Amino acid sequence: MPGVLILEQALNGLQFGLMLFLLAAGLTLVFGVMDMINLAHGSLYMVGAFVAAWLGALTGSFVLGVLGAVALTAVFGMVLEAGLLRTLYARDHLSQVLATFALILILNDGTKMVFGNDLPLSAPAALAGPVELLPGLIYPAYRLLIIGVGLALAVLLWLLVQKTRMGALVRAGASNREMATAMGTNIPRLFTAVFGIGAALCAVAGALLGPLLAVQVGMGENILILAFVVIVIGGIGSIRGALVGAILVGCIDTLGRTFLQHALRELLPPQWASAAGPAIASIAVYVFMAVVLAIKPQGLFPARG
Amino acid sequence: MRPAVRALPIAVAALVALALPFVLRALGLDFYLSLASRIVVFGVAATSLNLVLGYGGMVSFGHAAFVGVGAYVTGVMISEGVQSGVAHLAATVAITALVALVIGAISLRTRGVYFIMITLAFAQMLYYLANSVKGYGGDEGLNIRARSLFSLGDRVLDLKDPLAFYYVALAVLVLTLVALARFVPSRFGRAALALRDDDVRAEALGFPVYRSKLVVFVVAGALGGVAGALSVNLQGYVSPNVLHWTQSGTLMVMVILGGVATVWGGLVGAAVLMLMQEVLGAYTEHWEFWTGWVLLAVVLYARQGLVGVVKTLRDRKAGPR
Amino acid sequence: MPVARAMPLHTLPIHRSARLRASALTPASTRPSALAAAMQLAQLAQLLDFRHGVLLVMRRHRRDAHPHSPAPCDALHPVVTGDSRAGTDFARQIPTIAPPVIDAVDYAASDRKVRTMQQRSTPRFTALGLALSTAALAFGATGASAADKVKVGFVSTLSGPSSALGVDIRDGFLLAVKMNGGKLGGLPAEVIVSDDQFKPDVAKQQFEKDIKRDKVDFMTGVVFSNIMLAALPEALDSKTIYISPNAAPSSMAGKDCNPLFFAVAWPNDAYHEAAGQYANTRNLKSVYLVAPNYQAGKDSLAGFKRMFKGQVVGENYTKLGQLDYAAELAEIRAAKPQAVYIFLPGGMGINFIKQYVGAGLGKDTTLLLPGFSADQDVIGPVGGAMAGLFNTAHWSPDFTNAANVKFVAEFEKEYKRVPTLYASQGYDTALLIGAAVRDVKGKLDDQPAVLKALKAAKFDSVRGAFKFNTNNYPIQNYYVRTIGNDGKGGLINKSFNEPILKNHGDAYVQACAMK
Repeated sequence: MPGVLILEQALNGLQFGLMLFLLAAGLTLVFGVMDMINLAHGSLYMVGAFVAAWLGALTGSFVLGVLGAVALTAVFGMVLEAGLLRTLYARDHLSQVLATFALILILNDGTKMVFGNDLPLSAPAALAGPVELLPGLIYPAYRLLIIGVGLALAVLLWLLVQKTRMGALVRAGASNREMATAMGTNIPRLFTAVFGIGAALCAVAGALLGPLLAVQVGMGENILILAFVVIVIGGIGSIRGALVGAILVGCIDTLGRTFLQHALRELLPPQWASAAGPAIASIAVYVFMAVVLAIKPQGLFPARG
Repeated sequence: MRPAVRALPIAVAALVALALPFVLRALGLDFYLSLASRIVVFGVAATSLNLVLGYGGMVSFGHAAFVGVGAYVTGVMISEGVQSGVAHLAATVAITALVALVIGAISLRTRGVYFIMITLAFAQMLYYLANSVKGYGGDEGLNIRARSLFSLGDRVLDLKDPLAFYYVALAVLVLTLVALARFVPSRFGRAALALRDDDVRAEALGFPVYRSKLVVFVVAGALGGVAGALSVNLQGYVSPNVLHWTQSGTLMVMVILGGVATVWGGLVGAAVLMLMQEVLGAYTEHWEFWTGWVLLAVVLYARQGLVGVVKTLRDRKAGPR
Repeated sequence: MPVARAMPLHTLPIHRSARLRASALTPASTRPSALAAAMQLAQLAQLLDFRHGVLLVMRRHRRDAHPHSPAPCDALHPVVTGDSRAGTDFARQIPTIAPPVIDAVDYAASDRKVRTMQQRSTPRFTALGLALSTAALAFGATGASAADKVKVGFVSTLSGPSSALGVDIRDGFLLAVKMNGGKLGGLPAEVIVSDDQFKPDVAKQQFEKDIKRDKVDFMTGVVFSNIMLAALPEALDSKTIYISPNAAPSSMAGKDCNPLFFAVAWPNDAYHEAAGQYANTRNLKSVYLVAPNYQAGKDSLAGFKRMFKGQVVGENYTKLGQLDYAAELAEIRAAKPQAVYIFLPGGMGINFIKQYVGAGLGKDTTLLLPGFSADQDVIGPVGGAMAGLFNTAHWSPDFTNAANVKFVAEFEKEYKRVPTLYASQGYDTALLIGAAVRDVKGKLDDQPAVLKALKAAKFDSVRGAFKFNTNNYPIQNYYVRTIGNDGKGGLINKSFNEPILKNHGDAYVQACAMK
């Protein structure tokens, strides 16, 4: 396989991984700080994409659509948290799973009622073309934007968690909730803020991935499970773990898909190879998670001391 | 309450269930027999989940995988020409139990959210495996034209006949419920409940925690497989979607709606959910929206489910004993 | 969902079909007034002549006649969402025609839901229910003579990224019904439209409902081959004729062929065989192939390879419904083909072409397409990048035969957009059914006669001459089209006069047992 192909696929894996990171970051914070399994996280991603598509059509500007989606989804997330999810913190995991599953149903149909089943969302025309990174390595400009935004947000999040007071509170809450409460942190407000940040990150992912995929009801369900896999691999409550885990998962999936298809094409008819390749790559991701759990049960970068 | 009075609602339910196809036909609603059959099949699947979730205390988020494996085993056998229903059942139980043994052996070494994630991971692995095998349909799914055949003496029961299917499925459901009802007060059943409530204490008392949980997990998995074998006979079609995690979620919804850790909970939950879908679906295409709210209300306020609520009311009426 | 405006009867949006469902409530008393009302209702139905597939719409009359009755039926209207205004306007015109009218308003919206009459247990309603059931039964059980209406079950993909295909087929079909005055072949037509949501199990359930509960005469509509193959057994096992306006897999053309199955559009391989032949005329030496990994995808690339004489440097099957093609495009770039041929219908094609352009591949490689990825549903979202691309199809909007000129004009007038080939296929399907019904003089119970009439296919297709092969698949010409300016600032397909494949059947007919 030519080197250019490997590089290009590596970039694709990075792009996919960074979007996964945006989802996983919010999820791991919610899980780490509030000890809540939130299945509705994928629905926030969907809501973000829909709002971005709607605002983008309304204002005619992609950027305004994204920014508006981030703001509105963050507000929506905070309202959801304060209104409904707060009652779930004290409950057992099964109740949380079921209640947030119910929330998925409600949000799916609710979105359908408000926006319809799907909305068109296009990348800005300026980014519709390719960019030559190295001689021979041509890459779509829009995907480079995604990578850029993903990395920038990763840095921003790191700064937030490491350098700000709120970040310190988040880290404290993630590593030992009871002690943090005993120390006098205003837990409810912290929780709402954490949820809002998670929702905002989801909205960025949804708005950016919208032009590549399709903005449709139920789009969050497939990516949600991968986000959970990422946070289990990375360590619950750890942003660093989420980043590393996400990029690993993204690369295993994308590169695995390519290598396996090439390898299997020698052995199997093309239809079978094309089916088996991606499937085995996806299985590999889960096997990787199982292996990590076996060796380091708390994940690669556990937040809990 | 005296046993005779207690048995009355069960007797009524049994009578209704047995007479249902004829009643529907008389009303000209025989199209709805397939809905009734679907409720029965999902009742078996939900009851199997209730066994592992309610009585075993294991939040297995990959239970749909067992249903799917059962469906695929039977589907593949039928498409390869094996028609005997007994062979289908035997193979389904054997293979699903084996899969459950492997998954359980690994997953039960973890606890809490990690257990949930691992069972989910295994279910997803099986989902992708089903997607990858293009020879048996892959993501297009597997169509089968024939169905299981059961021979009773000189008569042959073909599950393609809706009436035959309904009664066979009903028989499976009745056996499941009877078995569960006998399991709960039995010695092993009480041990399993003790494990569910506090497995650390149970271990301290000398119970073989890991082994007991594994047994419950395997039995529940095999039962789920049987439900899957029935479902592929009903639909004539199985696709990897049967193994998707959202299907596991749906089964959990049924268990919660009906009543966790109750014998009838699975069936009641399945019936309520499917009827809600049918009735609400006739009025609005957004039936999932209302179903979600109902589910949320149940989780927040009536955690013990419908059967649990009925039990509480009945006990309250009986007064302090 | 389009908002229903107040409009006169004859301009009701035809893709909303209202019908009565006789709810079988347990009979209680039989009050003469309710029975009389039901009889009047039956007369009313005849009067309305079942226009636009409207069978029965009734409205409450004289609340004071029943002082203890429950809340008025106007409460039903909020339940009937989306179309209630059209229905109410329609209903408002009725009381002057025939009092006393009963309030059972029932709508089947274009997307799969039937609102039923609210089932109240008041004696008036139960008696009414009985009366209506008897009336409906009296209508239905008309014996072996001519039926009084033709019922068609239409299940298609009406939601999701590829919904434009199902919507177009449906709109074409219903346009044909409307242009015939709400009839097919002289009989009033009732078209029950449902959405399969791109899921085979949902399609199966809709088929079951239409066949077993609603007892349709014909089933039609499915876009995708995998969905159709999953749902088809429901029709074939119950001896219901299925007429496919789109999906036509090779299995049904060959070894699995069935006298109850008709493919109106083309065999799955056809467009791709034409494209392979066209690639030969362009002297293309190396091609990279992409298609989704399902029956139609397999058929498509098999068809292309059957005709193409050059070298296939890559054959990539993507997941059906996949929308992100980064990996596949990287592969294409590495393989350096002269041309790329894809079969990616609907939303898949839109995304691929956009990303193809975004990856900069359009400069060095020629993109060849079948008509499926080059029609208005793709041209709209992708835009200017489509200009100049070549594609193959059996139909083009610029065909000059009389039937097509009328079709395109009426479609543009009705729906304010240019029809795609999918719409033409839906239209032709309705015409075929109409021709069959006409030729058997409405005796739909005589299935052998219906099948013979269908096979004879005596109708004026918008594609020109139409003929079925022995396996119920068409034999026809295929043309090359190119995307050019429509003169109004947009893009449209223009065909070349000389067909690239003439009187072309399919490669599987020999394997079919039917002669």
